[in-house]
Amino acid sequence: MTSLLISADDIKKELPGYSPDRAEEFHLESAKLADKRFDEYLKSSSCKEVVLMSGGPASGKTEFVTEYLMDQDVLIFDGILPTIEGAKIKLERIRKSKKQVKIYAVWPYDLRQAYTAFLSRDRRYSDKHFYTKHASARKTLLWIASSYPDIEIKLFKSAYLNKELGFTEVAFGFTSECIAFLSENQYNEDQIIDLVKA
Amino acid sequence: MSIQETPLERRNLQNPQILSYVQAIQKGQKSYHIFPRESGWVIKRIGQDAVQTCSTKEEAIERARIMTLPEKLDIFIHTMDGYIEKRISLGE
Repeated sequence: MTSLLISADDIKKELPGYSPDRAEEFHLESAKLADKRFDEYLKSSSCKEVVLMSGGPASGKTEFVTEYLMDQDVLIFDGILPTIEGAKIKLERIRKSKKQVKIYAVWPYDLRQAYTAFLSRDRRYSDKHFYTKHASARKTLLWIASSYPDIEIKLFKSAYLNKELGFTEVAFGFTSECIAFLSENQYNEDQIIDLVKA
Repeated sequence: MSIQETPLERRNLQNPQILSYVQAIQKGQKSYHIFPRESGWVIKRIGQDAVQTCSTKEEAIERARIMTLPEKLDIFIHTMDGYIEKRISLGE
């Protein structure tokens, strides 16, 4: 059993002229292609379950997917879920396909760790990408939790500790608790800048 | 609130994706960042206290160059509002 994975970062590598130091230039095109491929797989795949990943850049989403989800019979969209509009379209299309959907969000325990990884990995983006996408991913997740209480949201914290990357599942007794937690942990772009430069 | 946190056991300690992420964090944590502050131009690592404060940006860059030279690390120069104005990659 293996999962079906769609990742804009993997798609970038297929684009002519791509190099990691120019990743931002290819972001829009690869994101569009990933959405298109996702729609195709929704129609053609026999998987009954879809996992939408959520979280800002360098949160550890892909690391989580490769560690825990690759052997599952699921269709995985490994992206940030940066906009409410984009999430809404995906959720409606999944509903139409009659597949079950789960959201797996990965949040860094310490945004500064994610920031250092973001700046030092091969794929290069402007730092603005980090601040805006972390803020918008959290906003979208809160919107999903509030608008679709029937959708299961799993939240994982990623942390680099003792020279290893680890994950902790954060489970809530009630949806209202999840919404309260997400509400309390919303940040705008400026707040994220302040957090990482401390 | 009844929030329960459960650490997940790692399945593959040789996961190349995770090894690469860890490498990026380790490299990033060593890099120096230069921030303009009221006291001057501060050289620091993310998450740590300032190692040095210089009176000019140029001096801070030069000091940071010397500090990063042995390991050819990156230097990030920030603007007053926190954004990165310039990246100096000595390893490239």
